[in-house]
Amino acid sequence: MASFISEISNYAFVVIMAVYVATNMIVFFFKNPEKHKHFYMLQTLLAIAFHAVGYITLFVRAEDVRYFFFFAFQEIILFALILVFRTLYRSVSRLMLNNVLMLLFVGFIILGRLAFENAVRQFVITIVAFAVSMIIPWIMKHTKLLKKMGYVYCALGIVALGAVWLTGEITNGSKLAFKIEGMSFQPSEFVKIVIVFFIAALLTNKKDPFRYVSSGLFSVVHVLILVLSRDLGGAGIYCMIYLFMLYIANRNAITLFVGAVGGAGAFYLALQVFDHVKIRVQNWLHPWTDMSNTGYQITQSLFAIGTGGWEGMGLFQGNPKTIPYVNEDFVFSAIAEEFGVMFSILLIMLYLVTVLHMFRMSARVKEFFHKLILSGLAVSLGTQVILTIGGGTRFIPLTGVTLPLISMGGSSLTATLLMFGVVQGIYINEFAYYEDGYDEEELEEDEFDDEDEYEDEYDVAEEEPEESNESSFAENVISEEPEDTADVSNDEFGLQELEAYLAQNNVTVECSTVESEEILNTDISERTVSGEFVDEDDYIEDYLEDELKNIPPDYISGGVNRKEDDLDEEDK
Amino acid sequence: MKKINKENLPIIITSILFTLVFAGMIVNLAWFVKNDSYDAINSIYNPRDEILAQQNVRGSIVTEQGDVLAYTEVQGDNERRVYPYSVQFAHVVGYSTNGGMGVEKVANMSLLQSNASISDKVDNDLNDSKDTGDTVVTSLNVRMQEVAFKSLGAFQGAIIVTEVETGKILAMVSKPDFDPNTIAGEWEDIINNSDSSVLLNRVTHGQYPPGSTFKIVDALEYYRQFPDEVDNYYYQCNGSLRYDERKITCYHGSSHGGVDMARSFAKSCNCSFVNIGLKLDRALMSETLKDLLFGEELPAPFQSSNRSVINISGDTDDAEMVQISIGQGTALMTPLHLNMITCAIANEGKVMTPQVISRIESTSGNVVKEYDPKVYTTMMTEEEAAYLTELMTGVVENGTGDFLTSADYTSAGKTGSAEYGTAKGDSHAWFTGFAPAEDPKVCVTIIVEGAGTGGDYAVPIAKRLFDVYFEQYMQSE
Repeated sequence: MASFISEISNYAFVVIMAVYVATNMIVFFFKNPEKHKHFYMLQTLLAIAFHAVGYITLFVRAEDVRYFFFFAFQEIILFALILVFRTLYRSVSRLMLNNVLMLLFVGFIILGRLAFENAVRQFVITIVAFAVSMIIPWIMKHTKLLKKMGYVYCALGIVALGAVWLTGEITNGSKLAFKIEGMSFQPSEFVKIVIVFFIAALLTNKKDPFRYVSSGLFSVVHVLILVLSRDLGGAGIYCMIYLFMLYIANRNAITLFVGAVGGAGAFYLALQVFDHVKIRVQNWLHPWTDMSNTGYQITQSLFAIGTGGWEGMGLFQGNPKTIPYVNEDFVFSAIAEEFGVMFSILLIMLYLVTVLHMFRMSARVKEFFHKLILSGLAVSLGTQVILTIGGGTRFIPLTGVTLPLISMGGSSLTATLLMFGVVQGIYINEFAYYEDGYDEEELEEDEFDDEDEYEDEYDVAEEEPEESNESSFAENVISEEPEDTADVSNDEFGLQELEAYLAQNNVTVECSTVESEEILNTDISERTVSGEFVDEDDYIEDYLEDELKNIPPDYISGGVNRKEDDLDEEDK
Repeated sequence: MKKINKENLPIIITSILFTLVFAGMIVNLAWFVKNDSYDAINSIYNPRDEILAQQNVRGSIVTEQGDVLAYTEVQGDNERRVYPYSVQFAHVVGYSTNGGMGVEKVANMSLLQSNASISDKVDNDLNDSKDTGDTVVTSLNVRMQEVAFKSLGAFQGAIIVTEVETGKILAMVSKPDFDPNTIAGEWEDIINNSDSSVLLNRVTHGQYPPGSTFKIVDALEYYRQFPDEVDNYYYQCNGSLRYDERKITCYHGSSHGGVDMARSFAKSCNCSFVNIGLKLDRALMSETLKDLLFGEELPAPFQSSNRSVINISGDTDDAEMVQISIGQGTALMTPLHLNMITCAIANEGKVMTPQVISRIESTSGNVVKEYDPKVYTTMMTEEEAAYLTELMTGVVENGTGDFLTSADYTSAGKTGSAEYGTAKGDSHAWFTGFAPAEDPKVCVTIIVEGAGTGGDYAVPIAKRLFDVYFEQYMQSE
């Protein structure tokens, strides 16, 4: 009877996960994903159902009542934390919160199946890290210095990685972690976030003529230290972070090309120099020739996935403990064995859609610094998932990184939760107005909501001459010259120009609250620092367009009427 | 038209790149599970068989005709593996205990996995009984195996019978043998007795000097190197020839007189083939040997086999070449390998992957996995195969294999008498060949250890096997 429960619950897992991923995808195609509360409610319920099915199965199969109490305990504590989080900030990205929760639940179930103590340990770390990550949005809101501390991040990162390289413990030939009071601490996981901030801060500062050179140079220093510590997975992730952040900042496709060529060159060099790289590649190409020795890890992983098949063996019905590092680097193989490959594919899709949501958020935020950070973190998360799942399924050679939010490992879990803390921080600072006290229906129906309509209506000169990629590249190069940004960064224009423009267009802005004034002021200065616009007029118009969209309708009096006025005039 | 913000274009491109890589990862995983994993998990390094054995009763091994070769008898909590044909299928079906052997070993995971229908599984769950593992359907034929087994009699040796066009193995016998029903109990005795080689599957692992059967390779190589001279080849055989200190004699010292290529081959004239061997360019010959899979891993149906050993390179001296050209000296071949070469000749140069498992079925008869015949490699051209077929037909029509002339089908082959040991006259009897000669269907390779000449001891067995094959497979058509 017990095995039957394992098999039935596997179907339940697949169905719940499929619906969950589907809601994620549907939300992706909404214009303003922030507004669809009912979807997020459904997602939360699905996550709870998933968690419940998992722990009921564990409870029945292991015949251990601790699982049952642990489930209840997890639910209570986690939802208390989420309640606190949402009370503190009123509007958080519930989509991200749900996805984090869902992935954590998958982790709790598979780790709990492997060993009850592992799940408890994972849960305690989750709670602590979650609590710490709740402070991040507050820090981001109240510290204006964050984007000016570029070299501080750099120093922090290099010191942390360097210290491990010099003094860290050697495990399996790699120097990855410190041991403090019996707790293992792996700085490279945290430096992932720090390096994203470092690169974002440098590339945002258009006044610094050396920003490309120094960001590149110091990123390479990070990577070299990791290579010397033999953390190849980490080195790969850092390379990808730098490459894509640079590309997003300079908008030049040649960056990717040079990156790909450089990457291939570095890979070839590593293949010649390092024996362990050579062995990894050989086992990737011919895993079945040395199953007992160097190919042991990958073949055990493939045996697990293959034996599980599409439907999976069911919880407690497989033999995942024979996979090396099953709690950490190979946790995906254990999931594939017991939950099945169908579920595993859905899990990969959940990671993908989470990464895509981060990119989408990155495209929608206005502050360049935030844009770069979100993209950098998305690249980091995506690359990590590719390295660990791709490695375990023989898509790419093994590198030995953890599966974010699922693998056991304090540093990895904490760093990932902090990362999502940063994502929430940016969300809270950028999108808060959507939910914060305004009537959703009104906002949705409002003409200001639609970008295109707005442009047509007001003839805002956003249209730029048709440009090919090459010419836009040329323009970007020019815009990077410091003298061009000099006058943009002049604080004098701004409010005055804005007022003049508004008066001209018969729009009056009532700064009815202190908050809105703050928004206007701070955003202008931030905008000028990022210095994206060469032409002053263009700048103002673009800026106004952006700003008007963001000012909730309540703040603009005459906005709605103006359209009627115009029409009246035309009629006359 | 919605205009893409220029600032966000790189982000969109980056998202697309990541989506593509993730999609690749999903496709790779799905591909592995759909196509590769079923065979990949069948490995002694996969420890999941024990867990499956707790959940399912081991499935049966049957033939395509429906004869059961192995099944598990369940009595309460006791499970007993039964092999109804006992010693006859000892090596090929093998055993599931003590590390496993044969089909039991290679299909271990298939036998332990259950693809029974959901309703069956629910029933079993409610009755608190185990699910039944899948059935392995082999290409073996009970009648052919029996004839092959009995033909070897008291001799040690090996027989393999394959279907030319599919590579399916119809019979595989190795002697001495053991009883798989009682192997677990006798295990200690067998292991401790270092003289006993009952566990050795001589078809895949027995390494024998090829003797005169190696003349197939000589003839092929001569045809390759001297295509214009083949028809004009002439040699005067005096029954013996002296090279350095060694004397090479034709069988029983009989003198064949003036021989051409066909007659040298049919009469298996040693002197003539030493003459041919010494003419061959050894560097080129080593290439041919590679084509024929000498020294290479063979696609054996049981995942492992011994390689055939032969050392020919540009440096090989004449003294060694004299030995090798008549299949003596350091040359060693497995019967499986010789069978594959013979199949290639019969199949226009292409050798099929030898396979013993035709398909896997669930207990209710649904096909879980089908093993389609596939070409393993091309050993020679169609012309070369046709030429060798011609030579081998000559062996049956007016040569050492003339015992087969009485049959009502045509056949082709090559005999061999491989000398071993030091005593003069101790030889293994070889025969490898196929029938019918013009449209080959079945291929047999026989070695009878220490029996004498191939013509006297191996060819009659071949005739019996061909007879049974045509009786079994041809009349039904």
